[in-house]
Formats: sequence, structure tokens, C-alpha cells
Amino acid sequence: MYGITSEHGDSMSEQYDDKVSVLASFAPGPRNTVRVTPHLIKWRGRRYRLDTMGLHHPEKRGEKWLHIFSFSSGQTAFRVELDSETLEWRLREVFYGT
Amino acid sequence: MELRINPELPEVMHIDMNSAFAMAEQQANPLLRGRPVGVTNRLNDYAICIAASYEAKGLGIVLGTRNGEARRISPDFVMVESDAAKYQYVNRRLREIFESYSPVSQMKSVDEGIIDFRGMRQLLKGRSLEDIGYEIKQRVREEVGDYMTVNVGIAQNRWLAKVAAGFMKPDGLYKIDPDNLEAVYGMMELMELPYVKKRNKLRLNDAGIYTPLDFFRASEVVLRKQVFKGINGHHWYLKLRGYETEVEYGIRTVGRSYVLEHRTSDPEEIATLLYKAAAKVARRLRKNNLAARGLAMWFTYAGNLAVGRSWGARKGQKFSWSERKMYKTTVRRADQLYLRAMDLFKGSPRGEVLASIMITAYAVEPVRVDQPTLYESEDERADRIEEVMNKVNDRYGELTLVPAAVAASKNPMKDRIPFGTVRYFD
Repeated sequence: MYGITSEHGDSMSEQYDDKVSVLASFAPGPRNTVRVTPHLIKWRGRRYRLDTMGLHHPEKRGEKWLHIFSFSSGQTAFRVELDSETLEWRLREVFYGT
Repeated sequence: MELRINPELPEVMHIDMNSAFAMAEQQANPLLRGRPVGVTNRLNDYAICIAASYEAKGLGIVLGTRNGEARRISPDFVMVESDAAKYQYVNRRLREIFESYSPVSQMKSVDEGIIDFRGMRQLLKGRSLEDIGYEIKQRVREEVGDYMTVNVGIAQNRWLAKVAAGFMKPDGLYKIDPDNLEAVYGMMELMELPYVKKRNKLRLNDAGIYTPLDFFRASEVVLRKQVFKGINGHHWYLKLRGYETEVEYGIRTVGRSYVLEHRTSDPEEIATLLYKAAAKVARRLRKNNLAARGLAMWFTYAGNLAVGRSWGARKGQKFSWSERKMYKTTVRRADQLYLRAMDLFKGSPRGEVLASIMITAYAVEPVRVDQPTLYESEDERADRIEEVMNKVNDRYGELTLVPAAVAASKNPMKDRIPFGTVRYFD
């Protein structure tokens, strides 16, 4: 699993498996691709607006495809997964930049 | 008589994504950008950096630096656990970009590839290779990630193209041709040349060769007879003048390497882990329709990590063990590879705590199709069972269906991210 340590050796990131609401756009990208951008994420009653998009990459687990989105909002970075079968969004990791 | 520099046009392009894994992490997590970042396979205080960002390298944090040491060098340092799916994605996108320019393109490793335009001038449609190189850099930013940068090198052969790619790091583009070749050598140190490491440097120094220019000016006879004592000297002589010496080979080995989540010294548990590793190698072999005669195994032990000392530092304690054997017949099924792995395992030291496993099948060759027989042999039956098991595992995930003896094992094995070849990335 994914993990990160700080200068003190303690974790700068935390793992979750929380269902989240995501406001996303789907738009044509270069060369017949679709660019998916999660603009807003609502997690534990708080809304986080996307500042900088990181990476969108697919990952296969068994026969299921998941779409992994990594992005930052202020000094917090998120890793959320979109299940291509159930279309459910889940928050998997939060990284604290400060 | 001295051979002149290859007069052909520079039509080989080498594209190199330096610090690829670290850069992929910085691409994914914008808060890591501009910071010294390291990537490791298993995160703990003794974790070794297997890739470092440009910022980390600038501080002296390089491949092999331990997590604790890196944090002492820079309190801002962040160590990230490797994420194979992410690197696989980046690799695939790069390959798609390369392949859109020439059918003769190849990923040489996880983070570098070659596009060969020799004999394919018409594909360029009148454009220069520099123009295409800049376009590739732009496409990498647009199609892979805005933080991703690549170095592009253009030259007459693959080796010189790699030299060119490394000449203007990071985010550079450079072309080597007969006019600037000597000037480029004049700017470099011997060990900056690809494939010149300590041993080759010492060999060259022994013959009075101290710089790339000395190397370039050395005669073929000196390189062949005095320095390399063989055909390698001839290849170097050609390489340095821009002639192609790199020949493509097919798949020669199929291997997998794992870090154990729970380290163990229990022989029974190790045996089940060996089966899991053998099963994965078998799947790779089958996918490429190959069988192997040779099997090699490499174990690393937890001792060095537990005491936090360097490799082989504590007297009497084993840190790694390896064994290999060439068999008379080829095999490709998991149960056959497992039996061979157990055969090798018998010779390993007992009682040591295992930290990682590597199994490599070598001397591989295409599977021969024998004359079909009327009745199915035991071997054919076992082959068919494995094929079905693979189909189930393809659908529900790796190791969903395993022999009963292995099913009890709860010790997960994490894929090490691959160094070098990317032949099995898909």
C-alpha cells in the first residue's frame, strides 16, 4: 500500500476507505481521450475544492477497473478512487503538506 | 587505418525520463513538487531509496540512501512507498507516444525508450528530429502529466543518442552529429559515458585512457587487445564513432521479485511463498508462450535491516543467498517451477529471516508444439488445469485459485517495482 513519512518518521499521510461525494467534469482530452477532473470533494461534512490536478491513472483489481485520481486542495492532497462498475467514489488517502 | 565518424544522418532518438518514479509521485501529489522525494519498496526507517527526485539528488540523496540518512540530510525529505500501477500507467502512455512516431520504437527500461527513424525518413514528413523531439516533450506534458519532463537525445546510434539525452539534463534536448561529437566528448568525464562504470574506467586508465576524448582517439587494436581483451573493444571503437552495435534480443529471462510483508524463517511458509512466486513466473512464461530450462533464486535476509548496518557488515550473519541451476528439460507450469525452486531452496541457509525473494527462469525458449496424441497425457492435463486456473485468476485477481497447500498462507507479497526491463508490464 501507498505510504509516506515525514522528517520525524511519523506518517504525513493517512489511509481511509470512506465513501465521498465528488463533483467532476468529463470532457474530451487530447487524441480521443476523456479528461476527468474532480472539482469538488465532500468528505466528513467538509468541502474541498481542487487546486491542482495531479494524476488520473487506471488500476486493475481482478476484473474490475478503478480510476485513481490524485490532486491537492490547499495544503492537503487526496487520492480518490472511482469504481468503474458501481460508479462509487471512495477516498483512500489524505496527505498533509504541512 | 582509422575509421572515420559515421557520416550517416543522426536518426536515432533516445528519450529518458529521469527520476521517473519520483517524478510520477510528484505528478500525482502536487504537494511533493519541488521537494526532495525518494521512492522505496517498503517504508520503514531503514528503507532504501530506489529512486530520488531531482531535488533529492541535488542534496546527495541518491539510489541506495537510507530513509533515516536522507531525513538527516534534508528535514524536508519525503519518502514514498512505490506504486507499481502508477509507473505502469506512465510507462504505457510514454510507449503510446513513442509508437505513434515510428514502428521501430522500444521502451528500453521503465523510464527510457528509443525511437529509431533509420530507413524511415518518409515518416518524418520533412520535419527535423529536433522538431519531433520538442513535440514529444510537449505531448508528455499534455498526455502524461504537466510536471513530467523528458530528456531527448538524437544521434547516429543508440548509445550516442543516450549520451545526447544525458547531456542537457533535466528537460533537455540535444543532437550529436559528426561536427560536435569531439566537442561533446571533450566536455564529459569517463564515468558519465553510458556503460562506463568503475571497472571499465580502471581498465581504460590502465591503458592510459583518462577522458572520453582519449577513449575516442584510442586505436581499435588498443581497445580490443589491451583494454577489453576481446570483441567488446571492437564494439566500443564502433560505438564511439556513431556506428550501431546494439543488437535486439528476444526475451531471455522471466523473473519476479517480491518483498515480504511479514518476514519469516519458517521453511513451510517460505515454501508456500515460493509457490506463489513460481505461479507468477509461470503465468508470464505462458503469456509469452515460453518455457525455461534454468532457474535462479535470490533471497535477502532481514538481518542487515534489523541491525541497521551495511550489507554484509555483521560477521557470521547471512544477508543474501543465491543459487541457480540449468536443467535438462524445459518447464513452464507453476508446479514444475515450484519443484525446481524447492530443489534450489534445499541449499539455502536455515534459520535466517527472509525479507525478499526473487525467482528468475532463464534459458527460455518458445514452447514446442508436439504431434497431438489421441489420449491426453498427465502433462497435458496438468497444462490444461493451469490454463483454467489462470483464466479464473485473470477474472478474480492474482492467486484467487491456488493449490490447497498454498491457500493457507496469509503472507502477502508485494511486487517490487521493476528495474530495467518493461517487457512484462502489460
